[in-house]
Amino acid sequence: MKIQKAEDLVQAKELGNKTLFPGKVRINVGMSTCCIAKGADIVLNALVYGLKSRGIDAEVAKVGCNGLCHIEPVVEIQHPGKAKIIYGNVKEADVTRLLDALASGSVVDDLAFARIDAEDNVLVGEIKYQYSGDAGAYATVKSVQDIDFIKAQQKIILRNAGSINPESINEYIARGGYEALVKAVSKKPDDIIKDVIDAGLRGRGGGGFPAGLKWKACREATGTEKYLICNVSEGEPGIGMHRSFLESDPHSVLEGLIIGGYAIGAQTAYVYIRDNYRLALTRFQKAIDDAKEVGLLGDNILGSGFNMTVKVKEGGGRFVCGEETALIACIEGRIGEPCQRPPFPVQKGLFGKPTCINNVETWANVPLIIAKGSSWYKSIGSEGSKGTKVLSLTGNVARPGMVEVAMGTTLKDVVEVIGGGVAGGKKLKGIQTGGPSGGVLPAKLDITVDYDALKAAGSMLGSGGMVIMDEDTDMVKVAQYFTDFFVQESCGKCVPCREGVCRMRAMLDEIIAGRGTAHDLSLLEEMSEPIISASACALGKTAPVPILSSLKHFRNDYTAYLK
Amino acid sequence: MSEATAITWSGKSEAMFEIMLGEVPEAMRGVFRGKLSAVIAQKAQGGAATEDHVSAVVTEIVPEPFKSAILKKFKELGDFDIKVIDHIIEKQGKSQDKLMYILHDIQDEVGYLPVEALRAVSNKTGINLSTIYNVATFYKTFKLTRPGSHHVKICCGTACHINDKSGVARQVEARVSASPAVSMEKTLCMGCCDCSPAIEIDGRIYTGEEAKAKIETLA
Repeated sequence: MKIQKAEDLVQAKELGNKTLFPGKVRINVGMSTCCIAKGADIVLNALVYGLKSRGIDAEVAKVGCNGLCHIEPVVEIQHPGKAKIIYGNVKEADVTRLLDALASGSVVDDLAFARIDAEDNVLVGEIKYQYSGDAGAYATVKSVQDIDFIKAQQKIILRNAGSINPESINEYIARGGYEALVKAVSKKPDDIIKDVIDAGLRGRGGGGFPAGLKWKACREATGTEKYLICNVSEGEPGIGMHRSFLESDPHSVLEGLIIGGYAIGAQTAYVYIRDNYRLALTRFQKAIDDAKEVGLLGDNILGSGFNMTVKVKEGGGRFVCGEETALIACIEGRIGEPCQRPPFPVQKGLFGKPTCINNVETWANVPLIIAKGSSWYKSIGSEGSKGTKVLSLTGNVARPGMVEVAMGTTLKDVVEVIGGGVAGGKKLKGIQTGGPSGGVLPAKLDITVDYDALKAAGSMLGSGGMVIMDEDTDMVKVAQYFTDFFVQESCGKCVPCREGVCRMRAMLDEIIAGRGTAHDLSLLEEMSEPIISASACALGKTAPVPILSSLKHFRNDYTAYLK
Repeated sequence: MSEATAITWSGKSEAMFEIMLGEVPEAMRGVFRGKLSAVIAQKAQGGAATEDHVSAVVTEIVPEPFKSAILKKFKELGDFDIKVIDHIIEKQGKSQDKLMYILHDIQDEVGYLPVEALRAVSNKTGINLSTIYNVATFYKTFKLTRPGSHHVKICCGTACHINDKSGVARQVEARVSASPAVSMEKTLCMGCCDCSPAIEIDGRIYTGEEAKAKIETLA
């Protein structure tokens, strides 16, 4: 099957719907890396074997992460015409009961998390599951619409995660996939860029720079050979949502890249995926291969005359390669040493050519902006931060995992409603937002998920990491941990970063060993200045942040160690 | 006990033969030594028994799961087949932007980056050996020493650090340090924060307590 014009999507949609709604039971088993770590593959095997030995004909799909990370392994069962039932904490020993319930049309109450009668998909509208008769035995299961954990989220980037087979291009298309691309190639490239600027899309990697302006600068740069880079370096400790997302819905990123390539005039894109993200790498490569096979990549995409190639590049395990110029060096086969800017990558980037680098989540926003329009996009979020943000909620929290909220959502909602509060009923001491470069905020939950609000609070949104720290946390040891991280990850080029951060870590070691003085605290603050001002990249510039923010907000933890 | 047929060995073939025999239960090893050496001698047809001869016997005669286990151990024997490098460079290309792809492929194939492999890459691509060494040592994903028969990665991410209140990671580290066959590294955040403390064993991630149990089965 080839997809060369809009009408061809219809056939792909039908094929996708044939597997999503196969006229028999469809079972989704969450199979992203973290699900597998909790034994989802063992559950899957038991299910497949059990179905076979009972002679039950069902469609079993390996899906991605549906965000119910706190109850993995997750299994969804859907009978034709009946609500989807989400089961959580499923173990191998539970499979027999699940299959008994499947055969008799009943429910395993102690494992059932929620019931989905219908889903409101941002692209295709209502997807109905329950439409034949009443809920019957399912009425005892809580509807997903009554669960605050779900209601507080707005899943538009994660619209398909956990519902589709990530390795099926047809299932992606069945739920509105590639319609944005069809629309995009009927528009002028400059108009697409205008849409992205108007939507107010800001870079999701941490910088928060207006993506549309970057696209415009790259389009206007001299030269015909241009590149796109999709940054999935996700090097910040404490986050994994982009891994999860890529394992769950790779086509949503690919579609954004192709639209971007068309708009900017870049014919080659590199998707830089960090090392050890093997499943994400494999699934993304499959997405590229499948798109190529149907003609959505390659020559003359959808008859537009535009050609594009997308290549996957595996990283080498260095945090610094999340920085634009270091990432470019890595793709070029060199060591990841950042370099001075200007010139910026949009003028002179990969192989010396104009290059537009955006974070993976930024690219994933693009199909939504084109499909639904910039006015719709702007209606979500806050004044200065439009759209949604995928967050990685981790640490001492009751319900860790991948979540998506509208910008402007309060940290209170994120931590308490979605996160279920601090684990073990303890008190909240601090939240680290934006990774180690963001510092730790004290427990002020009225701050919102917003670029400017978090900056004003002395932190940053970063790429979406939120690490919850409870009352038992020693903030000096946390600062030591992060400072050590920066020591390990510094590329070593700039003396203030290489030597200065090392000295700061050694001073923290002395303080923790009980040999620190009040003068050491002032010295730490003093040393931060040249490190911040004289380092070439954001790693060095933010390396003192863990110490500075903990000295500011948790000075008592330090004074407790002093002689 | 059968007499083993006298064989002239070449290269690593004798070491490979002993690895193959190592999979046979001890009580039967003597008998099998006789039988298998006769098969190899037949293949060698009076000449020296080569690595290929031994590999062929394993592939043709030995049943699973022993076959895969033996072939895996052959790969870990040290040195590497230079043909592997040629094949990889032919697939990837010779320009510097292909260097990391080449190094990743070699490590996937051989298990690590032998210095001889880096020399071979330099000879065949024309990229300076010091440049290759620079890249191979800058990026932490590359190993220049052979990992153990089992490899453990301990995640040093924030969530794993603060969620590990009972010190599981330290216990695993201590246990693994006492086992010569198991190599270990501490890694950047593995992005599985809801499984914290996350520990990867032989390519599969486990949560803390399960990792502890799994380690006991290895060492």
